[in-house]
Amino acid sequence: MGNIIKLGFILMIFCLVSAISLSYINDITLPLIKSNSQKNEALAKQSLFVGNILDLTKFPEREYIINDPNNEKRRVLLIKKTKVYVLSIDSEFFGIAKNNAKKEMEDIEKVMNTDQLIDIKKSPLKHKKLYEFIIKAFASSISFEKKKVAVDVYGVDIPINDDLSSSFRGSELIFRKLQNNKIAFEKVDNDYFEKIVADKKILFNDSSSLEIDSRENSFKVFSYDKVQIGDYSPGYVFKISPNGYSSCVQTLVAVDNKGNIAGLKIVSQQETPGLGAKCQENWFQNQFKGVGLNNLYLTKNNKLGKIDSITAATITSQAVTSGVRAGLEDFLKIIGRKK
Amino acid sequence: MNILKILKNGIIDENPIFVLMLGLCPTLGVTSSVENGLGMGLATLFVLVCSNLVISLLKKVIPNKIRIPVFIVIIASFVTIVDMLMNAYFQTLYLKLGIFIPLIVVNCIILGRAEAFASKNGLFPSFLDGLGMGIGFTLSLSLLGLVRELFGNGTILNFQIFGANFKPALLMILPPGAFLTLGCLVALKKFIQDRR
Repeated sequence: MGNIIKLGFILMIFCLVSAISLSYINDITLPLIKSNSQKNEALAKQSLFVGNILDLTKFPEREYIINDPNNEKRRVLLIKKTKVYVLSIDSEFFGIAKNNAKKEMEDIEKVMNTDQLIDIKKSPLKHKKLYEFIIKAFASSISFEKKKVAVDVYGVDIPINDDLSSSFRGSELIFRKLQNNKIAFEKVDNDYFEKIVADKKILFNDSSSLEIDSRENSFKVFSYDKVQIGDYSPGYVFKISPNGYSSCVQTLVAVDNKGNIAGLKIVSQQETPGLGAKCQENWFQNQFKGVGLNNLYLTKNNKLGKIDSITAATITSQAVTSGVRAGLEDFLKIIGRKK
Repeated sequence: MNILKILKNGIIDENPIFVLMLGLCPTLGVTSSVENGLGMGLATLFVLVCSNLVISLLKKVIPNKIRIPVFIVIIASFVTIVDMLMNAYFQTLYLKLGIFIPLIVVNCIILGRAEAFASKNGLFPSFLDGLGMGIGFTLSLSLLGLVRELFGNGTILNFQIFGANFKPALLMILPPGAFLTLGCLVALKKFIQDRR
């Protein structure tokens, strides 16, 4: 008996020590990991609309700044749309010989002025690094307007705030969170509630803070970002996380104004290495570019499909494709109804 | 025991994959390319060295009867710590290797070395054993990955080796290809050893 207690106690101490050290390290690393993944996501969002090609006609006339990558506060280049000002530059960093720097900059300006287009793949090798920085500077000027919508509340999509409240046509509405990314009414007058349910129509009046008990009537929440380059909006971004083979495949989807997919980026996944994890390879993600709702199927499942699945990772490919499809369907409903 | 002997033991005489045949589950699953094999090997190498060190250090404190649960606790918490630290401080490396790290917990080569070597030997020999076994593991995985990537995808480290007309044998990347390659490589190793 004494032996059992002794051994159990020793094992417990080991577990305790490991639990304490794990939670301590988790405490230290969690904020870093979170900010890292947010940073990655923000960069991924910007690259969705710019990528390797920069179309200067879309960008407004203003200042774009390139910072020194080694010293974030030191500015090295200033670009006013098609004129490059060299502030202080470590030209060797960009792979340009010092005595040639002025001429090289003039060359780059010429390209920017005549073509209004920078394509990294077609650029001369020596300018590649500098072009990458120019693209980054322009990309960082893209802004994202966060939007959250309660979908199809008796025929209307209601924009909601982060705290799940909304003021819609003069009425204060308060929602409450349910599971699976859904919400329900928290505060609405009982008679009024029955009336809108009976009519299947949402009729708002001016009286606010109407009370109701918890009646199950749930609506889907859809979050998306409106993308803004100056006054011009190239499209929208939303995030989906379909269930793959062994994880949630977190995917950013960019949609252009015609409702086609402008780009797709898988930001995190834990699929099988060598098989499902290949979904992060460029060839797979690039397949989605320009594809509309009608062709968003795997080629082997549907004649209209345009997405080739990954060898030996059908479940992952299927999950991403149908996840994007479902997301796009929901999204087009919202945007379509607004028009 | 001298240094070279322990290292050689891990890399050739008791190679974890080709001789001991330990840790085959992640091995066969992951080695579809050189890059993956190398990544998995290096991550395992690190955990193997660390867990060998810690277990050798604590061998007098751990009662014999409950050594296995204690080893498992130590290894699992080590892997988790590596996973979290790498994710926080070496993001770029983590994006490449991160998917392999949780797989290391189920790799029985680590438990096997803790049981067979680190719990009976001193700190420095245990370190060397971990290093040797880890290098042996990494080399074997890279070799498996090399063969499978070459025949199954026509590339090595993503460089095209054959011309555009080459039709890759898809089977080599799929799970059966792992068994076939492993069998052939083990036979080859035996053949070379016997001829000596």
